[in-house]
Amino acid sequence: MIVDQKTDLPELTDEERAGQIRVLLEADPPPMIQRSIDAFRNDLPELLKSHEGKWVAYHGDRQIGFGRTQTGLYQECFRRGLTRDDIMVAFVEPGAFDPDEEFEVTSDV
Amino acid sequence: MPTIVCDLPFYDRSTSVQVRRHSFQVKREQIIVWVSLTEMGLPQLHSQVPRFPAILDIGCNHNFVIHERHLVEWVGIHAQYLRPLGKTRVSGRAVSQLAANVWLHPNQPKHRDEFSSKAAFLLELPSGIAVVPSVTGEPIYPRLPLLGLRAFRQAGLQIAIDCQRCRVSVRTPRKFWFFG
Repeated sequence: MIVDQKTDLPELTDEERAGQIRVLLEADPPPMIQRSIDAFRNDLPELLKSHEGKWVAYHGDRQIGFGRTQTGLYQECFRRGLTRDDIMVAFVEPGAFDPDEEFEVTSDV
Repeated sequence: MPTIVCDLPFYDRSTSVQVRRHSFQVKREQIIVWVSLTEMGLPQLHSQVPRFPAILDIGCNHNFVIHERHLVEWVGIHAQYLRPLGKTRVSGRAVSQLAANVWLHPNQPKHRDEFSSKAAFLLELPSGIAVVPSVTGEPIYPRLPLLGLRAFRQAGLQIAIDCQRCRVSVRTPRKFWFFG
């Protein structure tokens, strides 16, 4: 079964969309997602030993599933009645969600 | 779907791409792919989700970097579907990370801006996308969205760049089956 959270939202103008996106960019992660990110960072050393290369889903500070694909895990969580505000799905790899990671691009494009 | 992008050309001269009836410069040697962006967790791409150009930047170590204005004007997504994943820095600029995935559109072989009828390929992004906020008085940066090499890693995709023919191909890993 495929679960799609889309609902019939009204069409937005670019101005309306810009206002909503600006609010989003200035926002912190929802509390449950922030708890999940913190828990994942804390658990990562052990996860790397047991589940490197897999996706893991968190509900707050609880691991609620592992999977081979991110989408499969989201779908499983939706089936259980969880929403995007409740869960965070992360990939188990070295340095994942490292707050100090530096990102670069090739040049000023 | 073994081959996603097939013999996609890049050029030794400046070209342009059209988005929403506006023209944007593509500098020489820049590789343009066409992508869509959605929230995480979608198993299929709806046919009405817009596609837009991105530079395939193998020197970019984030998944995907896009300017706020392009997110608003090109992506066509409601903010309600996106969740913030915190802040980080890209080339010294403070950016927001959002939980979103990118879909890579197959091209017509030997054409950059024409598309095949094959379904778009989902790139599941571990830490989402980076959005560079608009700053009054500053130029849009990046000028076009950037698709980094990291976006290809989870799917284990293979990228072949033929600098003699100026062509790029992207394919899924080959699988060999042995029958006893």
